Amino acid sequence: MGKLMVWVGVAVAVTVRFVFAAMGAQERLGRRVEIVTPVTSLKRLAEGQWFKQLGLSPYAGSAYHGSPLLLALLGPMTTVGTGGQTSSRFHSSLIVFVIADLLGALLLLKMGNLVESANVYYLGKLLPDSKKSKPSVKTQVNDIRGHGKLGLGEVAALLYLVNPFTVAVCVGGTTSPVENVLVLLALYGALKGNSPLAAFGWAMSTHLSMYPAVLLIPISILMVAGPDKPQRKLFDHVNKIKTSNPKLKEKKMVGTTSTVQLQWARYRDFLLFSALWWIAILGLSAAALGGYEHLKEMLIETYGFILHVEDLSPNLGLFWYFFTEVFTHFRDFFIMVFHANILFVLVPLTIRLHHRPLFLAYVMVAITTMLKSYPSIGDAAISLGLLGLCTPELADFRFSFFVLNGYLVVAILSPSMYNLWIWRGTGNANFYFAMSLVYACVQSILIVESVGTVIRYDRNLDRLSKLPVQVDSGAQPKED
Amino acid sequence: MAKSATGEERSVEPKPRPLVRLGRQLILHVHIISFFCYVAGVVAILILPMLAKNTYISENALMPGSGNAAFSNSDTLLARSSAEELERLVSQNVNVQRAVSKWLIEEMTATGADCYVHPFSLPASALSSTRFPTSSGHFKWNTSNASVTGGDLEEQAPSAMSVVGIIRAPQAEGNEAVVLVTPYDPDDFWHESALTLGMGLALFSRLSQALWLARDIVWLVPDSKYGVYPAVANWLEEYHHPPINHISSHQDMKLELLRKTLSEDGESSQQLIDSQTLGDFKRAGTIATGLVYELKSGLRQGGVDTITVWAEGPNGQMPNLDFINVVNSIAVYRESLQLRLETIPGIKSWTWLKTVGMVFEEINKLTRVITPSWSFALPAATYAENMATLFSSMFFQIIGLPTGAHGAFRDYQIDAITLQFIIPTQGQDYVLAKVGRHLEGVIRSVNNLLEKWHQSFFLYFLSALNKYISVGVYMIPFGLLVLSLPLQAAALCYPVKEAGSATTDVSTQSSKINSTKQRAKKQRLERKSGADDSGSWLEALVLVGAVQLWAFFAALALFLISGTKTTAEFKLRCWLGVVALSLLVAFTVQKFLTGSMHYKRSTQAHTQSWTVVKAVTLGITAIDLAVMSTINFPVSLIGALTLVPMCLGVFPIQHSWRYAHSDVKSVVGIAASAVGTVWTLAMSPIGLPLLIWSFYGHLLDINSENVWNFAESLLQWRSALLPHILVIHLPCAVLCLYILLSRLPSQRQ
Repeated sequence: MGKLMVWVGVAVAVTVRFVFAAMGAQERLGRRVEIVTPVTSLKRLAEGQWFKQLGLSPYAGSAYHGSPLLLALLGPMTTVGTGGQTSSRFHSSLIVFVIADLLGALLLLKMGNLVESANVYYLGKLLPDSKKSKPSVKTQVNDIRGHGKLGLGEVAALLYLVNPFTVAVCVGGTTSPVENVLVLLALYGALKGNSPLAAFGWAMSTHLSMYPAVLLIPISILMVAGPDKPQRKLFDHVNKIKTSNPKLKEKKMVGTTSTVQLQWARYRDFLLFSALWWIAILGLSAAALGGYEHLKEMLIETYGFILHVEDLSPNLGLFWYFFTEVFTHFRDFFIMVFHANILFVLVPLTIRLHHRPLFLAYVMVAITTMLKSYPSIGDAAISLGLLGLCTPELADFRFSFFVLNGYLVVAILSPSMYNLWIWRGTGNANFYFAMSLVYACVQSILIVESVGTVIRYDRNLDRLSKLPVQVDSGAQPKED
Repeated sequence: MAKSATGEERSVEPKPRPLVRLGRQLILHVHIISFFCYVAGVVAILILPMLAKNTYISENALMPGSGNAAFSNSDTLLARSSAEELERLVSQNVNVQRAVSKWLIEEMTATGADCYVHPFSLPASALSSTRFPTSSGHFKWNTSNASVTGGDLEEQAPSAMSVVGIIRAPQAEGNEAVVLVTPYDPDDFWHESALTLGMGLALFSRLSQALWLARDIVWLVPDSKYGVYPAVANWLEEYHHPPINHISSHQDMKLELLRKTLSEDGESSQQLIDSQTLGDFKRAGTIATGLVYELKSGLRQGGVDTITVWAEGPNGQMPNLDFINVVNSIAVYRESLQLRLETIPGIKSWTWLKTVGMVFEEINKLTRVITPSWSFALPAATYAENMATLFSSMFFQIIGLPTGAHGAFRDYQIDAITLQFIIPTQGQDYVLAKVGRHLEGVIRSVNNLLEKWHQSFFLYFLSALNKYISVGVYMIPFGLLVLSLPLQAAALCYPVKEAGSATTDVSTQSSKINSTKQRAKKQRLERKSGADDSGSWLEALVLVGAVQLWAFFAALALFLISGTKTTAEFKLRCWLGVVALSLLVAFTVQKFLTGSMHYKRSTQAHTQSWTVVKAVTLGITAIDLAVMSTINFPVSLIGALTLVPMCLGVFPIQHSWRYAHSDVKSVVGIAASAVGTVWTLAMSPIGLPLLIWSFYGHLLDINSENVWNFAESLLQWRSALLPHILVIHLPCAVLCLYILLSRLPSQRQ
């Protein structure tokens, strides 16, 4: 049944994408500022390709601000027909994006399976055996274990595939699906312990969109300490009980020295491979641009464009409105302040959530989604996809109805406000910026509440693991 | 939202934070609060005319009436003599269009203006240029139009022809223009048309001598054979989006038409065509303002000469308030003309309006006893008049159709209004001079403007010509009406599980119960209807999603069926059949989907899922109404008035029945559920048409053909009313019916 659901879901998702594309969605969605940003626009990529064909730098005219490698991959597909005009409604690049989405869903599925088995393993270790314990404890333990027809990976993959944001970004003519799948690839590689893959995903996604650089922290934790698990002190506690009670003594402990060494070796490999991939990426970019002297231009036009916030056209982010108003001589200062917002939260979050690297990765992606200079709903698509991997921990998330309605409001009302401002001319920039604020508000509620829920979950685990294992158990938690 | 910031709720902690407690109190008394919100919303609508402020001219650059009007008696004479000449010409010629066009071309050329003709035909879908919801539709429509004209020339040969003259401003660069429109109908040419055109010519020749012009003046004389709106819309379309393809064939076609219409009577016209490049479409910069005016003969009303103003554009978009202010202030303060807004006759004589006005007056008398300086109420007669103006404007906006050719300008962000001057049969010259001076003053004032109209309001209602209600004021009643929806949804989502608190019941009255036995019973009841099962959430989402998709499909089906070529009655039947069938399909699919995901539900949770369905319905309706308020405000206001009681008052019949027979009942609770049930039935897809038919059946000629044609015209004009009915009202009503008829678990459990 679960498999059937997944296949039906995949079929529906792919059909929906092609039906929308056939209805000319790219024409319409490609103009929506919520979907297309100056960095991810396929139209700008086509412009870059046009310059490239003319023998100019693809960055001429400040149209294209993406990677030259992406240009080499997608560029030839954008110039179908004669005279630069696309004749068919189907962009051949759509195939690439659909494949990217499917691959992303597959990665999420695999990651979900890994996380699920890790969950089963750690919870089995931590929680009292439900068969032997009191009925009240039993129900609580069963609640936390969860039981459903669909596996975690299947749920996460389906959520990612049929998420309207993912669909809109896929058919809307942006390069976001490719960036998203690379982020997922990095996390999958790290989860699997595959250093070259993780390094490739990380280096490539950072090269494409810069912000995934912050994922170095969760990836490192994933490589060294493995997937999400309850806090270490809980295991210490359980181990203590188990050692004190010879009947329950177990041979295998968490993290023996040999596995730790192996993981550090993997991490070393990851760093090495990252360096290698970076060299390869830079070399290939130089080759694509026609010389190493163009690399500086590339960095200025990609990272520099993101950091300097040169394009102030409206989007769902918080930058444009502020920087249209700010005085020129304070601009640099405020740019630093705005970007530093992301960096400020990294360390505290890492300290608090270091035992849950995947969730940490989600939080970081979500925070960059909120605070980046050119956000689109494509970023929301990936962060929501990652959130799907944490569903067991988020079972008692409280404001799901509110957050769902919030996303709905933004999705419907922001095009309407944009229409009021740009097309009807009866509104003004405040109308649209209000929607940006609502979006940021919804996202911050989602982040804060999900972090709160995970912390609550951990606390609950703590409580449950300290419950008396058996009625006649010798060890009492009060001794602690 | 208050709840969003609530912190962690821990079972060990006895006293929650203040914000949590506040939210809890809100949820506890949600029924009372929402009732009062609704009542307050209705009252706030009724006191809107009292909240109206006096208009003022916000843009200083306009300087209305600063220059003396140069329109003199000789111009009046010219207007009258040319009207007479035109009438003579028309009576001599069989082809009115040719006579008028020829006369116009000659006269315009004589004033030294650039003159050309704009032939056009009625586009296949006549009114598709009102392209509000899809702003990206610009290019699509254009290309399809071009391909049509290129495809079959013969069928699409232009049959109507507008004449356009342009005065180039002597001291400007020609970047901006003001468009004057004087429509005439060749099939119905009358004394008034001649007078309008004569006035137009007099004004045009006066303006051609003006030295103060900073903007080009475009005089558009649309051939309103198919109505004024299509002619103006067609011209504006070509002005802004010239057909890219087939330019040469287009040009040939135009010349052909020109020859056909003008050159039948000799050589001179032939030369005129060849020399003057009459077929070229000439432009004059960005159009800043449009002014449509026509002269009508009629009687003076109360000894004052009046001007009627129409301003509502497509979907209730209004021109900048400053424009109306300028027209008003010049008319009132300089020419002592009286402006009036077009109202629907009959509203003014509604007795209940007068009664309400009198009630407010009495209340004000009472308050004045306490504080003598406090006076807010209007006299009852003024109140009724202002309310009638307000309601008429709202009615025009609800229909969503523009009230005149000025609506065509709105699609290009150009502010425009239509003025209709009443010219009495006696003392014509005197009034004509006034009209001319007024128009000249308005144009001069507009000419002073340095930029786009941006200073004053775009989002407003007029309750009188010098009283406006801005968006900040009229959103208050709407907010009050809609506020109760998210509140109730929150109450359904997060039922407060406190002893002695009746949250899931119909009435808060029952919270007074004190006996422990009843309290225990209540708690049990609450637990049953508590919406904490994630399975039922998913089911509710699937159900609401399916119904919404069905509604979208119904709208799409209407669009598709309207394209076929059959009778209106058949189309309506066809559509009804498709909609009913697809509703069945939607429910089947929903049942299948929910059936396949029943992995953890208990039967109890399943049958109790109506609370969750209601919560989701409330949420989506609130969002829909909020979006509609940005698209077409009066529609959303009507939607809030009709949908909010339905959404709040709907409970399963079984639930109400049991409640009425339980120990905890109260009169208010029973009344509330009865009202909810009746309202839901009245607003249902079957109840509402019956209701309309029974009330207005004798007034309107309601039959299937008319209904379909009305829906089709709404579709063609892209009125927001149709999406409201199909995509917001219909699914909401269906979901409420679903809740009304949903079954509860048997009581003995």
